[in-house]
Amino acid sequence: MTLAAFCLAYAGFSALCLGMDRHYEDLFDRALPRRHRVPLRLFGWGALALSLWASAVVWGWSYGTVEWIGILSIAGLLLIWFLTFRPRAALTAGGLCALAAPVLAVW
Amino acid sequence: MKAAQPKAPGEEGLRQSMSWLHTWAGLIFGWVLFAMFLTGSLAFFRPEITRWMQPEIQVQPVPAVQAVETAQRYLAGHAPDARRWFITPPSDREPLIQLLYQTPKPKPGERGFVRVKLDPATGQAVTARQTRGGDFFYRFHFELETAFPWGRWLASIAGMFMLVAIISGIITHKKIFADFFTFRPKKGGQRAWMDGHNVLSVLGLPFHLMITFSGLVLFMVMLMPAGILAVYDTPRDYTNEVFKSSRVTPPQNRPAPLVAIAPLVEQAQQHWQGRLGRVTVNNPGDAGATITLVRSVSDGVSYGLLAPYMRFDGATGALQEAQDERSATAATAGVITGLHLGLFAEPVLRWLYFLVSLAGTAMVATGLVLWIAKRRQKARPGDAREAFSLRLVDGLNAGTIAGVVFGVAAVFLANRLLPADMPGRQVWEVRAFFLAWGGSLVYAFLFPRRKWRDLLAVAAAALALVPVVNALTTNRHLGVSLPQGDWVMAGFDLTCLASALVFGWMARRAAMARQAPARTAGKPRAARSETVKAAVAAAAPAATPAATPAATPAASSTAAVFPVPHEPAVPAARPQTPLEPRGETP
Amino acid sequence: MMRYRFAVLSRATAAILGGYALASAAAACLAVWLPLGRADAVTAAQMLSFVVYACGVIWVFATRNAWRAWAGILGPAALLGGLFLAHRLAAAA
Repeated sequence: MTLAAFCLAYAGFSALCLGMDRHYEDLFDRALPRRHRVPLRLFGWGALALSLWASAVVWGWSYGTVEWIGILSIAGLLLIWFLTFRPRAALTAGGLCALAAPVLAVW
Repeated sequence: MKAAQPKAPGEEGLRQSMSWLHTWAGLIFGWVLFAMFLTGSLAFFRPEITRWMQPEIQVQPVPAVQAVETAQRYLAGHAPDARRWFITPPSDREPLIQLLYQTPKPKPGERGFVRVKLDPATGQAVTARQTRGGDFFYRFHFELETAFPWGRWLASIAGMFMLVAIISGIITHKKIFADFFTFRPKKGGQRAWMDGHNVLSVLGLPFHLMITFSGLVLFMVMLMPAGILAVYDTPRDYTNEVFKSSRVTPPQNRPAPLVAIAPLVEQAQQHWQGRLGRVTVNNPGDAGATITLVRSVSDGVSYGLLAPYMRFDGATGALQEAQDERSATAATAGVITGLHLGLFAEPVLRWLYFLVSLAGTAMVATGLVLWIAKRRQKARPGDAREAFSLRLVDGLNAGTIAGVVFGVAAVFLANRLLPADMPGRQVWEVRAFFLAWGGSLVYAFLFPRRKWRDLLAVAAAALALVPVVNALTTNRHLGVSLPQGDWVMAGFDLTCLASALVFGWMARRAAMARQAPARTAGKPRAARSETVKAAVAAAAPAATPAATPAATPAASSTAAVFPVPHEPAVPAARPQTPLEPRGETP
Repeated sequence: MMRYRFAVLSRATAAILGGYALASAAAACLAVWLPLGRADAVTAAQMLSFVVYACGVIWVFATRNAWRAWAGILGPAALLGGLFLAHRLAAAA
């Protein structure tokens, strides 16, 4: 479940990143379409929130919150690092994480 | 930048003044803070490091009740006259029984406290090479190996400067959200270092804020006596009221045998539905003896300093007082300090703590390097010699960032290389740390043009040697620990190797920058990411110790911004990107 | 240049020493005025005093000139100290 929380955090950050003009343009060489912006950001924040919930389910709210903050920091740093050198791979990984998370959660 | 100039009302003035404040608050104690952050990161694995440094000890933990029984037998035989006994039962991370007792009449020149570690299975004291183990790094990070109380005060002042640096950094970082994911190492020079510093700071912000503030709170009795003396006569009155479990109860000066402690432990663990953390016996053998059982700090976030306790009469075994719940204020203070200590963390969270703490270390380092990068970029080309301040700061940077890491590796190497029975060996292990660091500083100023490349290479080599020397001097090296699943030993060695790779990479970048000064293709990376990848790849689960890592990518970045001094043939400070427009987020 | 250095020194003193005085005054004042148990009031006051200290330092460097910096530190410090003394006197009476 911790792994699921991590995947959700990574996926959430990926979505939030894609939902920013600057990074979307870097990746796709065209402007971020307005109709994509809100869903991406909603998904992003939602995934981050789910990540917290996943952490709390296993560890309780106080411990889980602390762990979630740590997960966010590391997931964010990893994403930024990948993004800089392999942007497509980084964001594809985000998509994969989004898919993997529910699987990991029940496994 | 002049903070004292009249400010135009509005944000621009505030951001500039906060930028000035951030720079100076960060710079003045930057090197001390780097060392504190690095050793503090290591402190999260304090017991694991100690275990690696005493490889001859291989014991298995036993349940607390049994351990306490064993301990009482030993203490009754060896320290019946002691004023106080402290018993720490084995835990997953520290499988030994740890005893401490206060002798009534210490021999002249000796301290009154005796520490003993027992093998839980045999009840015998274990003999192993004398070492301070992980305690050295733990204590260094808040005492700086300096006489009491000066070291703590210095560390606390540095911590206060850090808090101001964090707050001013937040205020001045205008594009904190827009730049959240931005890292552009290809731009080179000041921009790259700035991005790296920003990313490390922002992504780790909850941790950095928490660790800095809570660090001050941990010392608040010493740092802010005004609040205590406003209400109490002495600080001790206050601490006695807050930390009731550690109150020293007076003797009655009539002998009476001490009851068996083990059944009391059972009673307490039953009551708490939790684990025993520590036993304190005041005046064993006296009619006024008391036995205080404190709950394990691992059982709760707020238990670090304020765990629940039960105090029993030492002669009769009757319960005298107990505290389970705390007031909201005490619980809040407990959570704040508990978060700093991180003792409640399970392995995954502990590794997260460690990695984010290393990010903080890299944050400090990138800040220090950024200071140089900015000023080199602004320097006039054709200057025969760099300003004194630049040479000074750059030398301190290289000597500290590489030197402290080298120092840490030196401690581990000394631990393996010094003879196990050599008297005073623990003093020499610590000396190795300072010799390595001091030597690096001296080297940095003697060889300014090669310092980054050479010192980073030395740090890398020293780190890489640790597992090698381990293999040559013990039988608990990777070849044995990996198949056995001994994650304390294996994790430690693997983390050293991973860190060596990171530093080796940085040394190579520094060397490349030196060789091709006109190239601008350099890609400085946030050291943090390197360390993360390395550490994550290195080891994983259970109680794994941490060796070194941290620190920064040296000034290996774009040579255009790090013109090699004293070589006028090279156009100095010719950035390939336009200088940042004024008013840009500093 | 000397004027600049003097101004910086003035502000640094206001921030470091003045800020500590302000924080101490806040700690003392809160410790006696907070409607909590004795130990709790002190604990809360101590923790808050670090926040006060940090805010004081930020104020000193954010404000327009060194005079305002000092005023913003000494004024509140005097006020908080006064409140503390008032409580002391009232309690003694």
